[in-house]
Amino acid sequence: MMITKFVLFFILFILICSFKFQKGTGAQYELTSKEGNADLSIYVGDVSDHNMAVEFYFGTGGVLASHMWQQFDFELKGSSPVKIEKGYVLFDPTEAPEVMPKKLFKLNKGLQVEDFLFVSHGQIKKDFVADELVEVPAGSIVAKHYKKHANGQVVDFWIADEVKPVGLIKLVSKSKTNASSNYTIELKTLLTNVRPVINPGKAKVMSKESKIKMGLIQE
Amino acid sequence: MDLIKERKQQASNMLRVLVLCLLLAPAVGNAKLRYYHKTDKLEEQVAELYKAMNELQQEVDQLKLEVKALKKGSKKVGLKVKDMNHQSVHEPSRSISSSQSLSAEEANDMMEKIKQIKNRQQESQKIIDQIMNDDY
Repeated sequence: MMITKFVLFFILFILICSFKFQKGTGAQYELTSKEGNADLSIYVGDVSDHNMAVEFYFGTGGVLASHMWQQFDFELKGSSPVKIEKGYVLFDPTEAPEVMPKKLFKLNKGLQVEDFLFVSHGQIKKDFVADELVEVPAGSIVAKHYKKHANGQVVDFWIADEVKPVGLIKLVSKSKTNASSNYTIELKTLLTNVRPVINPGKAKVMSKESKIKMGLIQE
Repeated sequence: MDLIKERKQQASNMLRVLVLCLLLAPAVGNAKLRYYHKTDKLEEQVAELYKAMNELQQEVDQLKLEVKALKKGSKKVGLKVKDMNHQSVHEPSRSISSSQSLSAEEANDMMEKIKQIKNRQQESQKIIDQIMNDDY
């Protein structure tokens, strides 16, 4: 459930940054929160004239290791993604992927995808703080620092054009009211030539078990 | 009579001024328009200049930060890039994730612990053997 909402934040960056997207490019991040650490990877699965598929991988280690792949199909307007058309999820790579209900695109209680959807560079400029040197596991880089507030959640994030296509270097989310909104995301490495795992052509309807995992229904 | 003549003269002067004003008005208007146009253009150019100066200042600030970072330590300004060579980020065939895989140091540590357990087992066995061989 917790990791589902991180997708929404990453979609934010993809939506804000209208880069020239290239198949197989992406970035790998480390997510740190009270609930534990997780590996996150975001990469462009496929690009056509009017659509782009972005895949997310979430992995946690330890005794209760878990893996999850999510893929979102964006409608493209020019070179900018504007609308999520379809979403798929995969928990077990030996099984077929499952189609995500559209409800899942709106789970986050804090900043919503809609807060960033269709935003222009001009709109995000108002949240600009300063150019800062950021040190992350991937190295150090000068990035643009932005700060956003919504529903008691404060999000500081750093963006650099060099981190194509995602753009995100670091993100720090803090909330006094919602404990699950306290987390940090840092860039581990940029990725090239990544192969996507989800094949939308083989997707089936989401099972009850998966709906429970995704927090759509209760056990 | 003089007063009438004077008033006529005044009226004639006023008429001349009016005619002159009417004649000059378009010219003045055009001049004003030209002036405003020039001012607008100048303002545009000044705005562009300020914009360029801001952009330049931002670049200078970024370079300053990069120089500061380079002076500060050995860390190079730049980011790691990993070529996945058309593999997925987490290979499904692998039974354990990369975060679970052992590092060389962890493997050595584990081997050391196994060695210690074996030694303890051997010592325990010796004690058991001694007890078994003891003649009561």
